[in-house]
Amino acid sequence: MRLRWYEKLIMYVILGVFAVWAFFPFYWAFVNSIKIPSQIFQKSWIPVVQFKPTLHNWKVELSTPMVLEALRNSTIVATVSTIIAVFLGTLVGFALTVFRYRGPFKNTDIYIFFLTQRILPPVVVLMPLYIIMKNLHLLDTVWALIIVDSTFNIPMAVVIMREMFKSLPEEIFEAALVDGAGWGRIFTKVALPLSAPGLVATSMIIFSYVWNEFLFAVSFSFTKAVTLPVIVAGTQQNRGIEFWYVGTRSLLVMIIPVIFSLLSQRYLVRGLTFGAVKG
Amino acid sequence: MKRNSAKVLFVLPTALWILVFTAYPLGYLFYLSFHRFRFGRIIGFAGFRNFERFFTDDNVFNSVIVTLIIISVAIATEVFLGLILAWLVDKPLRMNKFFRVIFSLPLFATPVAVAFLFITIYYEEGGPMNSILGLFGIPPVPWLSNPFWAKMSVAVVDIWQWTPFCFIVFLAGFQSIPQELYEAAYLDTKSRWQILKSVSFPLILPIFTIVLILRIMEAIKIFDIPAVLTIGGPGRATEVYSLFTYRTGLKYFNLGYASAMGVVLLLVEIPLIMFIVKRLRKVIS
Amino acid sequence: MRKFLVFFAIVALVALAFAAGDRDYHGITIRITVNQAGKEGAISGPLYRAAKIWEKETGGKVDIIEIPFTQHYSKMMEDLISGAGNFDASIIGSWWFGDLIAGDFVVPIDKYYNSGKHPYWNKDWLPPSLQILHKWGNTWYGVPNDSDGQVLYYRYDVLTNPEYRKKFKEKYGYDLPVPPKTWDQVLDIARFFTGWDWNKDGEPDYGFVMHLKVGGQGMFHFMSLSAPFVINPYNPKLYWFDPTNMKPLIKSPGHKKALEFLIKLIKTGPKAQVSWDLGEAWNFFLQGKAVLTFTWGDLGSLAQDPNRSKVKGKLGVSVLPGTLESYDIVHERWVKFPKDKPNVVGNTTGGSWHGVIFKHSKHPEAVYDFLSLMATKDFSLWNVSNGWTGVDPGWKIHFLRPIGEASIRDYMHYGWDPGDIVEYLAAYYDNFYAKLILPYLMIPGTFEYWHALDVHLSEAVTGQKTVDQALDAIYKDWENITESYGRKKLLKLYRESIGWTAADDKEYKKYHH
Repeated sequence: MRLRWYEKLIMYVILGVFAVWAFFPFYWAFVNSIKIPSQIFQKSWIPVVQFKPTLHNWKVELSTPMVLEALRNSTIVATVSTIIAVFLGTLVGFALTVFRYRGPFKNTDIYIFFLTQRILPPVVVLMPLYIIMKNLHLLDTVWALIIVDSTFNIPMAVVIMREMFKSLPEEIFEAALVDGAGWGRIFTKVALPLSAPGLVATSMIIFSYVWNEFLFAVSFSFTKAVTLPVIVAGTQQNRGIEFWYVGTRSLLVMIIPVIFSLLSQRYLVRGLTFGAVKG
Repeated sequence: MKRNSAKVLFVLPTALWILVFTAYPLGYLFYLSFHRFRFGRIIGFAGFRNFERFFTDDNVFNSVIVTLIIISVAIATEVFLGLILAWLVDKPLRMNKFFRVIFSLPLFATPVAVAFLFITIYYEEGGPMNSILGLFGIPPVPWLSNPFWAKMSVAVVDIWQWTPFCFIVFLAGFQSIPQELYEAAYLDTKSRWQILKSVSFPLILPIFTIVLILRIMEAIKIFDIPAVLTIGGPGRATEVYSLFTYRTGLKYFNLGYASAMGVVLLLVEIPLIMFIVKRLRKVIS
Repeated sequence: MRKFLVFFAIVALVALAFAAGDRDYHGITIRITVNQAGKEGAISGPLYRAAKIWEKETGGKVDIIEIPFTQHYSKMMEDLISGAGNFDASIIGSWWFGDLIAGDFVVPIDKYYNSGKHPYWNKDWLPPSLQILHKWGNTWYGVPNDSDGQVLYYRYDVLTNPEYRKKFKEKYGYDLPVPPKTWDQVLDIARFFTGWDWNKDGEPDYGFVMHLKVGGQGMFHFMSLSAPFVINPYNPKLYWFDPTNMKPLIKSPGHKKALEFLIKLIKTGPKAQVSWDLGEAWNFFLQGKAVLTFTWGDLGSLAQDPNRSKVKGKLGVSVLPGTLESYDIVHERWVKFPKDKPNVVGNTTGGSWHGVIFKHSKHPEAVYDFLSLMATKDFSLWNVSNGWTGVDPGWKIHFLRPIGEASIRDYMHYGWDPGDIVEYLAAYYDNFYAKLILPYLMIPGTFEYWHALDVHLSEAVTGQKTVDQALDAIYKDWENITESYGRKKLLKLYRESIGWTAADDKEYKKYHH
């Protein structure tokens, strides 16, 4: 199909408008991050030309112990939760691909059991989990967040890894079985290496989800286990909002998940649609 | 490992994990909802009092309405825009790769950070949003100070964040339509509208339903954006259900009442979950 | 540079004064939470300075934990409720006090105060209106630090402009009063200056500005404004609840009239102010775009900062205006006041942020020692005279001689305009030493009560609810809150907190059956 020139033009205009729309907030964060407080509410959009940029905010930000601590917490929580969720999810994904379950719980039932976890709104279990964490003396530790975040992200791992394993030719497993390998060996030596790209993508997706999580983070941490989103939300102090730090902090917190989302997009479609749509 | 033991061993740890950290809390949720919780501890049995308050509390009614308005505006726009953009990008344009990347940027942008950024973007005394609209002769919009527009502001941020999801899923859908089908249809009718109606649309319809369901499911959880952008204001104009529950439980520490809210939400969601499960069964098997 | 010299002089002085060996806290670290504002920010900033001095003097260490204002209360409570015990002390807003007392989370300070071993400050420096915020009954729990109260700020230069005054008189039939003495006059002035370019910057300007965002402490505006509509010589104590049954008084004709008035006043300000936090609203006034506002002392000191303000030396400050009519809840009637003697009520609206020591702290004495350092005369005076500290004047020692012990020179040191400071201190004196003071709610649940107030007021000022509907909603929410805590328990605490006696009951019951 050929497009006529004016059709192309209209398309480019529409796409261009939306591209600006999608990109603008990132640009705006950047502009705010290099402004001094009194320039914030001025109508100046282009650094150097309209105002003198400064790195002051970045310097202050990156030397604030609170921010660095949050960066550390976020990294720990996201990494450990990702490892747990991907590990547990991959086991199930693998089992659902290679085994046929009979009896009251068939493959589909097991699959759906894990999926409902993802449909459950977090706020439903927030209160009981709060008290459970309190009784376990886990409040304000990274462990509370790690437990909750990995629980809520297991389904994502199950979905993507199941899709991944399904795309491998069945004969590989048969061959390994004939060679006398146990299922543990087949899983670690055959299935995992072959699905490495999927594994990496899944990890990136789950890492980003955990990294961005706010509701549990703001509920279960008060000082020691505070993560970056909570710090960002705290840019409001008793003399109002510090817009310049909103700029630095939002860029700081967004950069990793945004990059990950671009790298893992093919798998994202499957993960987000529970495997209903292939990317 | 034998097949039968392996069958169990591969699933058991994960199943146990989920049961411990979801099923147990859910049980505890019901227990809490029948108790009074004050001064940092359970101070007595409440019977149905928490539920009585729930159904007579104007704040609850308000938060339900607010949530419904915000998510229906957001979802309708997201699905519509996502579909259009995917359809446009699924064309032999020179820059479609570039657009694909740009459109996906918001996907994983931290919602809290985005919400905060939008406070500056919506700023009513000369912020960028109103300045840009002003170029087209549109009078300043009271984004955050007007109860109606505040709802729209929350929806717009949600739209910014989630249109990319609809976009990439629809794009995947369009790209899975075999090229031959188009060509055959083109030879048949030559009318672009006919092709859209008879080839693209029927093939994309199942995906459309899935996207819609998934969006509804996710959107009900909405919390981060109103919690930061408007703190539920002005008044309670953007106090969504999750935010109200969170506030009651972890700002006022009335965990009994907040648990009752959780119980009701769960009961309301069960039919929705069953519906989703039913659809998924079809897709999976 | 001069600021630094003065600061070090204080360090030296304080160090000299308390070089006693009794105060050796080597090896002790105290953890204290405060609203997040950074090392140069309001309330938290002075803590860093005090910590430096204290660490030098005593060998102890201070860990300052900054928590955002919007989360501070809940995080502190979470820590206490969960028994985690991460903090030794918090710099709290006084309206959190009731929950801390009811939960038995804080310790009295009298023992340490009386021991004479610690840096010297005096309870009697504080006017009774502020003392109340630091104690429960006769037991002191808080170590004074900040004094919050709202005062009226006006543009002296604009209100005394002869041309504007002439026009005002033509329009309203009386001389523009400087400062305005009643809220009605304020409304006339605000209306008069709305919608035209009186500051000659090419854009129309406004009469009034407030911060009314939910969570932006907008309910404080209503409290201060409504005080003279409800509190009067015949009813000095009842503002919040009926002392016999804990029913909210918020629907009284006085409260209603005050809210109607607030809504009229808002019309003379920028539309966006209903979504503004303190920062945006203050900025608006400091940029010279509104003639009037009422808020805390912070604004007066921020006005002295040339980076932020265009109104230095143009500032008028006075105690909040009064009313000519006030509703007397005790006797259920309206009371009228003569034109020259309006009903003026002072307020302690705000947090009056100050330190309390938690029960689980292992070093309460060291914590007290640190907190009392901030209450010493030298430190406190330095604190109130520096704008950025967010600590506002209110104690006897902050006022000018002969009332107090400070001199104009002390304030001029820190860049104050001499005219501004005289006005500013006088207004604060009038406020805190007023005969009538708006009662401060200190019972458990105050945080929740005030939040409900904040939310529904915002609904009223943004037109989502009529005045009656909003007050009704507040009433219902408050009843729910009272029920959830237990009415009897709260009633007892409430009566204690406002000093309501059996004799008061007798008088009250004559008019209420």
